[in-house]
Amino acid sequence: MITQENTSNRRGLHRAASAVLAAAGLLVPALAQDISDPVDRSFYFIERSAQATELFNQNRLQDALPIFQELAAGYSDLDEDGYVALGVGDCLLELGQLEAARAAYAQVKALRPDLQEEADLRLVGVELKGEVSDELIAWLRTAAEAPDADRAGMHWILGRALQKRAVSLVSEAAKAFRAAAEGDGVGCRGQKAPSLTSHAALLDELGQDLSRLVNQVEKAFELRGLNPQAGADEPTPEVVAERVRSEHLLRGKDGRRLEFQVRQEEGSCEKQVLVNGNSLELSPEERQLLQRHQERINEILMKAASRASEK
Amino acid sequence: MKRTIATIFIIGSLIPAARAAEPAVAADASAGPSQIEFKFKFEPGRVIRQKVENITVGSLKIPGPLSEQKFSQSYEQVMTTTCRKVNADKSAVFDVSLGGIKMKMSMGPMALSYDSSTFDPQQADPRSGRVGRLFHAMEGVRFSVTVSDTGRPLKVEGLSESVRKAMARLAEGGDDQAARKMLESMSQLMSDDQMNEQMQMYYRVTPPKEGPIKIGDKWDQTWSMKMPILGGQFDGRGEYELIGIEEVHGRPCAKIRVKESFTMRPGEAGKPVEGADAFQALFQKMKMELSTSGGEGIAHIDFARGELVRLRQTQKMTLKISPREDAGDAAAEIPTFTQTFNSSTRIEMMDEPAAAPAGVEHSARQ
Repeated sequence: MITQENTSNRRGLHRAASAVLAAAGLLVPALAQDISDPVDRSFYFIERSAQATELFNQNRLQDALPIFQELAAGYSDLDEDGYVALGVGDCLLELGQLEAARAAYAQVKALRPDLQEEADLRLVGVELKGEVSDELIAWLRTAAEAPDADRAGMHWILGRALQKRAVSLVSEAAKAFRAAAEGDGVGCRGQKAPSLTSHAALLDELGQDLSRLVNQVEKAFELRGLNPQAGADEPTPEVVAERVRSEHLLRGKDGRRLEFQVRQEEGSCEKQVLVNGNSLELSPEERQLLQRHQERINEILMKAASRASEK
Repeated sequence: MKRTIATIFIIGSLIPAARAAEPAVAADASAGPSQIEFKFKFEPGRVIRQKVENITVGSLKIPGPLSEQKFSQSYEQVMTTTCRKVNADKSAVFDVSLGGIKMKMSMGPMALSYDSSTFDPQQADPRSGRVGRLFHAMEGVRFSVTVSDTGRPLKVEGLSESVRKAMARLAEGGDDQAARKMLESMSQLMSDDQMNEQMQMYYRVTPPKEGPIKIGDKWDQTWSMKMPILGGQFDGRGEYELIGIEEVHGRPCAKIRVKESFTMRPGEAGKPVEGADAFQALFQKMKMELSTSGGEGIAHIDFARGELVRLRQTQKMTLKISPREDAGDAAAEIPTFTQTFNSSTRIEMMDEPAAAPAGVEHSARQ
């Protein structure tokens, strides 16, 4: 059961541009003059719903919201599937008005028992924007294993919640170790403060790395969805490697020694890897990992150089 | 899955067109003001134009990681119906043509639009262009309908051939396989036999029995038709009531309250289509269950001339897609999900018909 006590952040929905319903726009004024007739009411409801939908999909949320609100208030009898009632909350969520969105979804849940599942999923979306609670994770674990659940979908949501929770826990662990380092040593027998501080720094590093990964995934699915332009607006990294030439002589536990060379020529984004002088083919995942860690190494080096130049 | 949904909605938007093509029925104008009688008078050379508009709105709930998408679609077209001749047995032949097609679809971040008056295949973006080429090829699709002396559709001719020509035009315009495949699928719906079955369906608004009817009189109809492209059979039920006699567009009209509902039951598994691409093969493994509720509307029929002047009707549709029991390995690619949409259909007479050419014979059955 989702409660209102969980904190929340912004949840993005899929958006893009589309044309305006000119025909419906012309018809609406005529219909609005006589909406006591049941057929006229239905027509008005459908045409205004379509208008609000196009505006929402165009990201014109300030224009879509009043239409959804008008229909939810005056035409709830025609809103059997809760499309406009939930649309109010969707607009508020997209506008970043999280508490208002939470209240709108909670109202739907309270007034429409038949929409409880829909409203719960929306409330989960609100919760995922902020600090993820253990209560939410417990609820998602149960929901993902329910016999009639959309298991793939629920496990996806559970995964998002768990990784966000992991970011918070790692950050909290780093703070705890720092607090321990600053304490009087009771309960930390044999541990020296600098070791604890170093460990906290490593946890911070891990947390930042995980946070970056989580944000990438959340952004990819929140803002793009079906949009084929997904990824086109990815931010550029803080540090860009224009040329890379590195050598690594590595020895494994079995005593085997391998000499690696990593090269990236100027003007190219591709890395070449050689092992003992021979080209080494990396899988896409290995390339991604190599790139990710190299970017972090580059940032550490640049930060250290900046610190050195300030002295 | 997006292609499936797009196909279903493009097909669904074309169904209301059959309503407007229903031949004219004429009423006995000598009846008193509180009652009318539907009789049939055909005037060779007479031309009527009706605008058909459909709006559909709802949520697309796609299973999996993607969130719910908001969907809306509007479609309009102009139906031109010309009475070509009246046969010796009092049956009549009407020529019907489609034109003035406009379509807009908004689904989450995606948008499609088509306007026959401005569409340029060379300038259209890839996504809108595919749909646009399909509709562009259908512009000017023509067919003829033969109706009995009581207005019941007897046969449709020329639609299958017209669609074949449209497919040929698509081939001439370039190698848009996707658009051709979509049109091939739709050609099953837009065949002579299928259209005739649909037009039987829309004969229902008139009372099944001859004779005068008065305000307050009711009648109902049930009907069935096969929809091979959607893999099922439609069962429909309608309830009708004469609720008034009033003037619309300067015409004396019978005002009829309409309440209709449909259910589509999955049919038998069809034979695999030879040459089917991956999409078509997947489509055949899907089970689609469609039901409607609400279905209320008002029809205005000019009882002096027997023409549909105005129809306004709304429907709530529930579409459930799931894998067929015999889907086999394909079942893993077909998620089970249910969508609910609201739809409105409006048909409006556009202008006064052209007068019958001089010297053309016509008969009147009183």
